[in-house]
Amino acid sequence: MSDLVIETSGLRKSFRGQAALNGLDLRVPAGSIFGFLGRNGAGKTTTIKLLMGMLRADGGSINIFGTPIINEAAATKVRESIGFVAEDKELYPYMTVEQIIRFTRPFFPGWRSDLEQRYLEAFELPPGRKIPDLSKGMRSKLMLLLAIARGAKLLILDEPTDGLDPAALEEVLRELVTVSAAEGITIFFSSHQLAEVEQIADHVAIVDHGKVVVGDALDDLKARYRRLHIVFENAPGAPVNWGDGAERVRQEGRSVSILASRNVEELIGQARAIPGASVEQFPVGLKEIFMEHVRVN
Amino acid sequence: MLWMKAWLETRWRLLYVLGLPLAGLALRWTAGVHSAEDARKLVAWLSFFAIFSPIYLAGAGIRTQSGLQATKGIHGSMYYTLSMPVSRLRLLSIRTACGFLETAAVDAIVLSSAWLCIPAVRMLAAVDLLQLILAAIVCTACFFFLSVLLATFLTESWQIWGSLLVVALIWQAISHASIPASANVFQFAADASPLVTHTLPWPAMTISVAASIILFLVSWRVVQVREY
Repeated sequence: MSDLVIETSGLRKSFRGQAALNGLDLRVPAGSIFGFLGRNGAGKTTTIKLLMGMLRADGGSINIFGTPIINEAAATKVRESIGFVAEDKELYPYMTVEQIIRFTRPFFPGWRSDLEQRYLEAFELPPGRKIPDLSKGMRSKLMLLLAIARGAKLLILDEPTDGLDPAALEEVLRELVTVSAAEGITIFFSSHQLAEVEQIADHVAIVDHGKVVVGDALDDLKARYRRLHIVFENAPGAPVNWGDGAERVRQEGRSVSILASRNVEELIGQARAIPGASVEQFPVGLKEIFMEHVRVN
Repeated sequence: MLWMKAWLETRWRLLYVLGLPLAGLALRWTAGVHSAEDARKLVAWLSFFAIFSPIYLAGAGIRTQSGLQATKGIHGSMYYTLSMPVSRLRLLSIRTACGFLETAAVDAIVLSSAWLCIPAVRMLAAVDLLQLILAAIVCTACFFFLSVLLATFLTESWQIWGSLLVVALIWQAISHASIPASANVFQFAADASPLVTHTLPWPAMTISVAASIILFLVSWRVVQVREY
């Protein structure tokens, strides 16, 4: 099997002429917790539906576990190894917790009864309770249980923590990290909650207007990105042509703010070469990287 | 498990579809059915329900079982259904089979109840009644599969009203055409009834089966190409 669990290349999808995905390239390493970030309408759910075979791509390719998802049969086969939490968090309202577990179990030969029991207890889910009588948080936890206990090698979670209170959020995030580490499960989750992504993800991709605008290991991103703050003695007469790596440049009077994604030392050298310029550099968080990319795009 | 899900989705509706003609039967019973002619009229009247029960039963849960429009509400999430490692053909087939069996059961239970409860109905030949049950199930199959097709792309209420409208249009069209009663899918409880002819309306049954197969294949195609 490839080291990549999910790989998409040039993925395109339009709805009534409106592009939702515009050449999306995604590479999700095996065993990673991959945060898929973007504003509402950026293309996150469309991507997830394409991965699950609910939509068909207009162009590009999808590989999951090295299998090209080229038809319904391939998508159906691959779903045996995927746990899924949909954005709507809806289950069958005429079933109880126990019934939906009993319903789901036979579809997955690798069903993990030990994980089922563990999360029934950890999430305090009452087996006899009807699904409509569960709180939104409990329903999210039940969906997570159903996804994990499938014995999946990949969890695809669409806004899994949406609607959870802070305590439940912490609990769910902790369990996701635990299950990923203990079972070697790859977790691909979409979110627009930067704090939770930063808390558990080791890889991220920021999608905007249907394209990945930033994608890398989170630690590498944080190590690579720097905010440069440059103050000149006198405002430069002409705009400075900053070198490679200056992603976002904002100038106000005598000061320039640069978001640098690489070649930080070269950019600092370039600034210092300007007479009377002082340069400071600051580490950058995921929020700042996200805001800079989705704002400009 | 998909059978269990289909049953849980349709059981209350089945009860309703079953309850209406049985309530009607009880009313007619108390009013008195004395002659063989009365019994034939009663059975024809009960058979009339056979046209509507498939329309009603086809819609219940078809959408979610095959992963169609419903995103929430009484049928729950289609996304959960579609996340299963199950082909859309299997989802559609099981749900359709469950609905069809329920429809057949409704026809059989209602007409058998009339035979069991009303002495005048027992004056009719049992073999004729059995033939009527079979004719009712087969002749109305095309209405069931029409409803299945509409359920693949219409919401539930539109599917029911749409089915009724299309059935009414077909009935109008057929009644203006000079089609023999034995080839008319609406006449299984009237002129072509086995209670009258003492034989099965084979042409109508063949037409219904052929139409049902075509409608199911179109439904399958719709479910395959639809995006959710």
